Amino acid sequence: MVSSFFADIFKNNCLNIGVLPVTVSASFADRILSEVAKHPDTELEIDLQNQRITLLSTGDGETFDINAYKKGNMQHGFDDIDYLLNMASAIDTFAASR
Amino acid sequence: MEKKTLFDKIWDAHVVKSVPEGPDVFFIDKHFIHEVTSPVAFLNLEKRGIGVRYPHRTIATPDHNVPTVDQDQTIKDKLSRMQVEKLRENCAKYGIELHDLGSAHHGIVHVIGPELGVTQPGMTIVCGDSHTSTHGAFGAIAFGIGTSEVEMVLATQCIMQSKPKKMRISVEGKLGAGVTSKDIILYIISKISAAGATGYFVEYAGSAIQSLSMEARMTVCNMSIEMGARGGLIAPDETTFAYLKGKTYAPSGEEWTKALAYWRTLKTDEGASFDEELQFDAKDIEPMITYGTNPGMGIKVNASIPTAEGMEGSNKSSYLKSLEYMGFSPGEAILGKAVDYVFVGSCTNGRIEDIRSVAQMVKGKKKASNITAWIVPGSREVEKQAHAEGLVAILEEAGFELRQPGCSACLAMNDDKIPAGKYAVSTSNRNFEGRQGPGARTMLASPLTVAAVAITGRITDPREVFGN
Repeated sequence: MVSSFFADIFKNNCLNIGVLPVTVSASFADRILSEVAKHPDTELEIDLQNQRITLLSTGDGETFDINAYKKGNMQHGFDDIDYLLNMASAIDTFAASR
Repeated sequence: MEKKTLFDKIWDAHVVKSVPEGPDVFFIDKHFIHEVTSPVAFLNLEKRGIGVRYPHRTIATPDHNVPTVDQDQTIKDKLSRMQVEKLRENCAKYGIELHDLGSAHHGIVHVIGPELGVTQPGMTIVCGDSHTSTHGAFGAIAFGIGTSEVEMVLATQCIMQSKPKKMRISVEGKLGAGVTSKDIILYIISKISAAGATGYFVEYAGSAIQSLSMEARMTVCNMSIEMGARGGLIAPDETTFAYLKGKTYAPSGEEWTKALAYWRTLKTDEGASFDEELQFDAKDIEPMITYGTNPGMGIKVNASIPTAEGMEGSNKSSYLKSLEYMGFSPGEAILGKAVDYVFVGSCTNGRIEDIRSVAQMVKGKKKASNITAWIVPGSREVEKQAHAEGLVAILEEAGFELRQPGCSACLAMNDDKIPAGKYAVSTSNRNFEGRQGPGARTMLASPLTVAAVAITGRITDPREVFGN
């Protein structure tokens, strides 16, 4: 999913269910929209490893940010709940102290 | 010793583990759930074959899509009925405390949490709802989460969160007559925009904030999210402690003394640093109203709608589109515009103090004939108290229709919808296109301003109707 802005809760939901939110500059978002308006079959390439998005028809592109941990989850098909369940006993110890 | 902000103190005390180059594993003390954002979370737990790890840390109530009339009868709307029944089923299955429709403590989740004393200083609180930031009024870290995180909290009592940046907003001085905490927050958002605090957690401070009641502080923290902040909080003080004392879930006896000693440490150390600091003067704040389609589009009620001068490109076109939706023109005055509906309620302004202030203002008067006036208490407790104090009688005499507790017309996810094209002046928190019903035109304001509008039928400065 590509946008120049994502609200926090929506962005977290995306990351947690395996949908990659790509935040681009407002000007790049405008270029994508105008290109798609001209050519509806325009394709975008998203290279998660190198954190780069490219508009294939024009070769235009830019890099995007993603948290390193979230990137790893996305690449390996893990999610936060898998991570947290793996440390359940540490959480239980913490919970008992509160 | 390291100087810490209030936010740091609470955050750091809840980090189970910091993931290298990643988020913190963040422990959640209390989790509120409602009928709309929880069903899929429970369904996914079943798919994973796991249960709820700490059921006693979660509290449930149906509020978003419930009808506000005939709550003792079967819900007519199919989706609403299914979601409420699912909530009942899930709560029974996993042993989660449910404050169901018609029960003594049913209400909007952000109204009943504080009312029951579940919300306490120093806690971490989440709920699948943006306005969870309300609970920050008690000096808690409270924020909204998505359904994927509701599932995470049910499964593990933790979420994975990166620590946000910190902002302090200070409001110093004394508020003028007819100016409420709703005006403070609408003023701040109008100054910094609906995205002005994106990425931050806000601490509100200063003498104007400290002078507010708990209800009024909740209104301020509630709308933190409307400037893009993750949440907002206020250091607990004697006002906070007095509110909590004796509440159902508040500590008592020796536990109270112990809790109080801890709560008194919950303030920002002198010299602690923030990523951003903003200061406002209370004397600059006047009754506010929004004229556009995001909460940052607010002006003093006696001011003119800004012109598009100096705006360019997509900013200008979205500004003009917003005014077109509202049926307003750039540069015109907002005072005197005719209104069709007033709505008093929601997690922003549906507490007893709000209902009290509207009742005091309309006592002995009648609403204008062009106005439909809905007043929806935030909870059964608020409703009960409003009856006991004689407020309901005053409001009904003035022509207001009292409905049963729920989110109601704040988000129109239920039967309470403002018809297309109609103007509503509302004590709620969002004025987005279609928020109060498809095509509905929302103007956000304080309960006092709403009361003034109800009486005159037009956009009115409350100070002119009720004097100073």
